[in-house]
Amino acid sequence: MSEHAHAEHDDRSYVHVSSPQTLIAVFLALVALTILTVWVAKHEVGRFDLLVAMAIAIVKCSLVMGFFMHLKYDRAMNRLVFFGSLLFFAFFLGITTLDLDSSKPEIEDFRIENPMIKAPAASDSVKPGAAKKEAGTGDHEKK
Amino acid sequence: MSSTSDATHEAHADHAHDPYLAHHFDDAEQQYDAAKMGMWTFLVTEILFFSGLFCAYAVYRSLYPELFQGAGKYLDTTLGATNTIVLLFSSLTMAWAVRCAQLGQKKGLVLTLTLTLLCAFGFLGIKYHEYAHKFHTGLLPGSHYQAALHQSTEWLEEHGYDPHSHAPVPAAVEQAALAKDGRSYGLFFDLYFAMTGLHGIHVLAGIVLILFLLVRSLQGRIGAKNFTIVDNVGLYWHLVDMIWIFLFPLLYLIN
Repeated sequence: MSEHAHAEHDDRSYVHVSSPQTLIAVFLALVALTILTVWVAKHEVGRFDLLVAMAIAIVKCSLVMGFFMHLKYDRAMNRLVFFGSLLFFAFFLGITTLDLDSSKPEIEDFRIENPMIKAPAASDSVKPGAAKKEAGTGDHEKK
Repeated sequence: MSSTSDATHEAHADHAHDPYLAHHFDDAEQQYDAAKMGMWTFLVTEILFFSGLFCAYAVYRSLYPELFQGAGKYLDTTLGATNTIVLLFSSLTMAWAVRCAQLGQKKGLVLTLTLTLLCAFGFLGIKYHEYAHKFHTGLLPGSHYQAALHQSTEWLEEHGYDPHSHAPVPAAVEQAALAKDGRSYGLFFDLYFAMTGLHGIHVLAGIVLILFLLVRSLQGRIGAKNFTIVDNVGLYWHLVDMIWIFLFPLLYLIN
């Protein structure tokens, strides 16, 4: 019997069980942050809108990850795997941004040549999908 | 395990070997760690999968900030926020389901899984409502975008088009509507439908997985000794929630 209990203990020691209090506290914090982010969006905070919204989203994600996904109590290896993906996402976004900055003049030229508003169509009615879509820009329908 | 065990005990040890332990693993802990690391690796591929869309969003938003501001107004923040709360609540019930499974509480497990499933359907229901509204008002991707369809009735009548006639919108009216907004918002709705659509497909997959768990738990095939599958489906479901946590401010809260 004692051996059985011992085995049982060994079996379970690596498992992290969240307490109901923790789960509910995390949920309430997530709801509060959601209300906060909507409130911030409704009130002008100037140029930092997007930054504030992303900061709140990152805090919310950390809560979900740390507690709901047990990452706070998990193996370091799983944390490494997860944060590794964020590192590569940062490379992806960073290098794309650099590339975008270096081609700003060409993009400006393209925007001047391809205005946003549709030119009057030849036919009487607008058929969805009839107009050609500009490849790569989504900046549409010049004729 | 012990040098003092008698023959009966040894036979017992051999036979009553944990039925949930595959024999290529040393022990339950190693098996659990391997399963979880496999799941995290999969989640990482999911993050990188979505990151392509997030990157596209970042590029176009930096190029056309005014377009995103104008188009973002056509999304219903209340519905988006409601859906956020629904998904967050489903994450809570999912995390609770993992707890119930770990503790071998069958009733609790069935209840929390059912709640999670209901939330998932609720989320898709609200999403369906939003999509339907967009389809009816021409808020569609790319060249399918039709500006005239979401102008006010008075505006349309002023321009000589009866919105109740269901006739095709004359090109001149569409042109005037586009000129009123100053641009087509098709690009924004490209991203909107791609991002929420891909997310919605993940919610659907989550529903299938949770249904599977529900059936298994009703059959009594999930317990304290084999809860790993609940844990891993939970991880997937939380990832779906996390993606939405970013989609919500990026699409619905553009100032």
